[in-house]
Amino acid sequence: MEELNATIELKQSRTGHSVPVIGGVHLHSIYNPEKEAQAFAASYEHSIKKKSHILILGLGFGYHCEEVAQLASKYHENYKVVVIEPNQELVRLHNEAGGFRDPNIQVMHSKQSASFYDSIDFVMFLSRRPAILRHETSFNMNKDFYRNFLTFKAQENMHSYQQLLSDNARAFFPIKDATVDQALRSAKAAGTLKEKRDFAFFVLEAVVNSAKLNSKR
Amino acid sequence: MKNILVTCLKDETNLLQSSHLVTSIAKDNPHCEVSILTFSDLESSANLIQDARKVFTIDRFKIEHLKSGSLYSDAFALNTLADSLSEVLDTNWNQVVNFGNDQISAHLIPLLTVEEIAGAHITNYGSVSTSDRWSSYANYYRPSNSETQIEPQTCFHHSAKVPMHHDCTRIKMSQDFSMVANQNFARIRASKNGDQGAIIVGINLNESKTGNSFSPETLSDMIETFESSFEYKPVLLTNGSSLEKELVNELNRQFGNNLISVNMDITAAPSVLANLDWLITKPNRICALAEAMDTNIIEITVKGETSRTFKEGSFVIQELNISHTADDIYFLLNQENQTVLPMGIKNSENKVYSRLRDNFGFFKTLIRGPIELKDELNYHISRNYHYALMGYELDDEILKSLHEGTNREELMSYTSQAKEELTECVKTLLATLRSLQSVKQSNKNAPRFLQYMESLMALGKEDILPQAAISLFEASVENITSTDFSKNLEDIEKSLFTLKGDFKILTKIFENLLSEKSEDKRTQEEL
Repeated sequence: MEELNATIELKQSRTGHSVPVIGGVHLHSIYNPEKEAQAFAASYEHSIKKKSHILILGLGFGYHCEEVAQLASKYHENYKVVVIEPNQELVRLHNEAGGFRDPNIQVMHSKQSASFYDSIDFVMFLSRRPAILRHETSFNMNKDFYRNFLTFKAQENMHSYQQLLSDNARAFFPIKDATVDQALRSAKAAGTLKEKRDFAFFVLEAVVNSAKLNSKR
Repeated sequence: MKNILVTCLKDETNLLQSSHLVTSIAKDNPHCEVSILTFSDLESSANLIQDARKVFTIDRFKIEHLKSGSLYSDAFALNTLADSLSEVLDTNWNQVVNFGNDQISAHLIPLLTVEEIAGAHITNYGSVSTSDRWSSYANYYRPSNSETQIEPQTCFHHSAKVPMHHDCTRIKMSQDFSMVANQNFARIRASKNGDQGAIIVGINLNESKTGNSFSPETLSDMIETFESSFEYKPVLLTNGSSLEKELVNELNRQFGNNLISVNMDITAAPSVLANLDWLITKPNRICALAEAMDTNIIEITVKGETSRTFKEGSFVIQELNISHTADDIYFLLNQENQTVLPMGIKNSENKVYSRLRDNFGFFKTLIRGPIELKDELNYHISRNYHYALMGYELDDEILKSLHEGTNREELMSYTSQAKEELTECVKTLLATLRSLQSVKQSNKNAPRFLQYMESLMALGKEDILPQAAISLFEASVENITSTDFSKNLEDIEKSLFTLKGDFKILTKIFENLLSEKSEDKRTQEEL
C-alpha cells in the first residue's frame, strides 16, 4: 500500500500527543505514543550502543526518533540520526508542530528513493555504516519506496550522473558515454592517448590502488 | 616568485625523506615557493617539513570508498579527486619533481602546467619518460636492486638541479611539545653519569615497513645492558598501538616497572628525537624522520630490506643472526662514545656498516662482520661505475685501494667472471647494432633486430655489473617519442653507441683494477 498521496488526519492520543492517521492507519499508538517510542528505542538498544550513526526508515510523528536520539546520547558523545520519509505532507505537519528539538536529528524527504543518494553528505553518512532501524508502520505503508531505497545501486555510466559532477570534475575528467572503468580500459587498449585528459582516469585508478594497498597493511 | 611542486604520493617514509630535497630547493632558491602534494592521511607528516609552504592533499581512502561502493555514484569519487587537485591544476609550476617516483604523479604530471619536469612521467604513448640520466637510474635501475650504489636522494637532487644542502633545519618542531620534551629529557639525562649526564638511547619499537621488529631477546638484552651501565639510559619509543603497549608492559614487568617509555605521534616525534643521543630503529618512518633531523642512528635491517638512512654518521646492522644484534649495537656505541658496554661475542655474524661520504656522495663501508669479497668488490666497483655513467671521473683511488686490499688471485677470479659477463653484453650489443643496420636496408630484418634488442634488455635484468648501463639504455629507448620509423632507428642507434661507450668505462675499470703499475709501486714501497 503506497500512501504518499493519501490525506493525513491528526488525532489526539489519550496522553495528548498528535498521532497521524493515513488511510485509516494510525502511525503511532493512540493510547501512549511516547511509551511505544521508548519500547521501540529499547528494542534497538544493542545496535544504538554499537553505532553512533543511525538511519531510521519512517518519520511518523517523530516520537521514536526522539527516543532513539536520547538513547544514542547516552552512549555516544557525537551521534547523528537521519530519518528518511517519502511523505512530504507528514514532514510539513511534523515541522509545523515544532519538529525535533535535538539538532542531531535530520529528516530527509524525497518521493524518489534514488535521489537521497545524490547528496554527498548522505553518502558520507552511509559510509559510516549506520544502524538501520525500521519504523514498521511507516515502512509497511511505503514498502516499495523503502525497498527501492534499500536495494539502490548507483548508475555507473558517466552521462547518467553528469549533473552530480562538480565544475572541477567536469574540467578534469573527459565525460564519456561509458563507466569510468570502461573509459580507463579503452584508454589503456588504445595505446596512444587521443585525449590528454584521459590521464585523469589513470590518476583515479592509481589513487584507488594506493588506498587499497595501504588499507590492507 | 618560482613555484615548485614536489609530489610525494608513495608512502610516509618517502614523504619525510623529501624534506632533504624541499629544504635544498628552498635554500638554493630563496625566492621560490615549494609545495608538496601528498595524501590526506599523511598531512601531519607533510606539515613537519620545514620549507613546504603549501601542502596539497588527496583523500585516497575517501576516493577509494566512494569509487568502490555500489551504493554511491562514481561522481562523488570524481568530484573528490578533481576538487582536491583543482589548485594544483590551476597553478603554473616552474618545476614539478616526482619525488615518490609513483604512478599517481607519473600520470598527473602530463595534466599540469609545468615548465620543467624532474623525474618520471607517462607520455601520451603510455611509455615512461625520464627527465635525465639520474631520473632514468632512479626509475629503471634502483627499484630492481636492494643494494644502493647511488641513493635516490642524490638522484632527485641532480634531477631537480639543486645541490644537497647538509647543514640545515628540515623538520619543524612544535614549541609546546619541545618544551615538555626538553624538561623531561633533562631529568632523564640527570639521572646518570654524574655531571656529564646520561647518554640517552631511544629504542624505537615500531616495526619496519616490511613488518620486521626487534626480537624480545634483543630488546631485553639492550635494556638490561643500558640500565646497568654507568653512562646509558634507554627510552622506549612507541606509537601507542596496542601491540606496542603490550610489549612495553611485558618489558616493564621484566624490569620492575622502572622503564621509561614515550608514546609519540608523528607531530610530537621531532621534539623527542631532538633529545636523543642515539636512535636504535628498524627502517621505517621514524628512521626517515630522524635522518632528516641529523639524529645519530643505528638502523637494524634484514637482508633485502631497504635502508632508510644514507648520511654519514649513521650505522646499519644487517641482521643475519639476531642473537648478535645487541652486541653489534654495543660495539658501535662503545666505538662512538668511548664506553665499555660488555660484549658477549667478539666476532659478529651480522654485517655492520658505517655510512660515510666521499667526492661522489654517500656510501657505506663494512666495519664488522663477515666479509663477502664478491659483494664488497661489486658494491665499490659498481658505485664507481654508476657515478662514471652519470658523468663523473672514475675514482682511481678507490680502484687502487681495491687493487691493493684484495688478494691478487681473488681479484683475477672476480674480474675474469665480470669480464665474461661484459663480453656477453658487448657481443649482444654488437649483434643488435648489426641487425639495426640490416633493418635500414630492409624492414624484413626487423624481427631479428627486435630479438637482439630483447636479449640486450634481458641482460639488463641480470645481477651483473653492466646492468645499470643497460637500464639507462632501456630508459633512453623508452624516451623515444617519434612516430617516424627511420628517426626511431636513428635514435636507437645513438643510444646503442652510448651504451657501447658505457661498456668501455667498465673495461677501463677492469684495466685499472688489474693495473700492474699500482702493484709495482706497492712492491717497491714494501721493499
